[in-house]
Amino acid sequence: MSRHTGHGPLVAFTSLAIAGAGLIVASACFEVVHHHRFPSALVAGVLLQATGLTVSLGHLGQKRRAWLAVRRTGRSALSNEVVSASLALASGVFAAGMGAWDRPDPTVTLIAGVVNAAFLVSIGLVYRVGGQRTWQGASVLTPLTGGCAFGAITIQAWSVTGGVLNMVLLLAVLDAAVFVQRWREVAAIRIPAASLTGSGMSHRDQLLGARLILLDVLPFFLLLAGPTPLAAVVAAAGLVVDRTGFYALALQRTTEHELAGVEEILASARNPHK
Amino acid sequence: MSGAGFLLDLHRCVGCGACVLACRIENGRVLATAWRRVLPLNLRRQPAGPTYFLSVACHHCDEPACLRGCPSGAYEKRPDGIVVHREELCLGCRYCEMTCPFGTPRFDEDRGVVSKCHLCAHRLDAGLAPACVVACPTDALRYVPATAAPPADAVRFVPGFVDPAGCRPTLHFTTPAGARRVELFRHLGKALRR
Repeated sequence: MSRHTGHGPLVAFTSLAIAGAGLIVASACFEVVHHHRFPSALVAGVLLQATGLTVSLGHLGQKRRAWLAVRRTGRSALSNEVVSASLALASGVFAAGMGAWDRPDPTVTLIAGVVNAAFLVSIGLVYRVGGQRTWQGASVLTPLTGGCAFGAITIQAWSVTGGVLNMVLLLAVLDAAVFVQRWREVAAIRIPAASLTGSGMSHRDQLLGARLILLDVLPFFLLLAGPTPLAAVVAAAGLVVDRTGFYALALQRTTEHELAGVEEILASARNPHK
Repeated sequence: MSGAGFLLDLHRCVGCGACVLACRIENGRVLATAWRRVLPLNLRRQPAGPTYFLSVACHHCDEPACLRGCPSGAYEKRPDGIVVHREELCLGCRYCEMTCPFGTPRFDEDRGVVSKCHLCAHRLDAGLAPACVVACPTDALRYVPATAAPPADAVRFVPGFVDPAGCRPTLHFTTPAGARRVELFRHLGKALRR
């Protein structure tokens, strides 16, 4: 990953997929807990997810072999993500279709919500790889909590019948708590100065702080004044900052990084010959 | 050693890069996607530690992270321990680049697939040593087959080469001789653990 020249397609894919799945999960939460139906949110979620999956396909070096990605289902986290993405999209299409034909079924929406929540967890698990120091711990959960917070804010932002603000608050606070834990984990990592060059780590507090404010804090305060699409736009910007920061903060322990760390120790060490 | 791998004598390696060139010629690699690279430590010759060169390629790990993560099964571990990459199954998703803690897989933009060192499996199968080993003018780089054990004084890790992902690389090192040098390695090891 350290040699990736651009993370644009990954940022786009994960932002769209997390936003789409988050909308479907939040719709399911609203419908099951408060019996409020938001069929247009399901449709929007499916469209976002489908766009994200298309972008994901586009970043492959060999697009015609994309179907091979499911060969190691159950053994590779990436295969699991591909399978769960397909199931999430299918369940979302089914739930949205039921709503569009005026036959909404809470059970179908609930199933779609659960499957999409599993997909969001699978995104987190893909990046939990040994040696990637900033992608451990709470970062596994941030796609789920961030997606749900975005979904709830977006539904509330366009709600004409009156959404449920306490559900938005609950999901935003949950996401903020998980994200603050991730921030603490990232802040605790000791990094050789040489590894900071050209890395997002030198701006980590700005990136993480912007994400927290844009996705969790500012939209909620905007919604307190009443439903406004601006809250959804700000939350979407927060989601993009979240994914941009996630890849920018990648810190792989390659041999080059390890050597840089040793060089730094040598430079600061006392001369043992004296 | 559980699988085939390399043995690098840090005292002998002078960082000439002959191994890199031999690998490139043998396997038709351009510099940007070369499978082997030579990484120097302490070229400024700070007195607190040794100066050496790490000539590294794929370590054909016992628990390869690339193989674990690959969604299409493009990686395969042969019975002799060599981890080979089958390009015809590669999606070009570059997930192995993320999972390998040694920066081994190289993405070829033109062909849209990843590639990596296969320990010159075609040469080994023909009874020849890997090209990088043959080219080494100081005998610093050696090939250790799965059936042989590395020297008793060989170590698996030196400052700058660790195993952060539990992959158990098969690369072994012989370190500079002399008690003073050994002390320096210990001193660095302690500092890194802190």
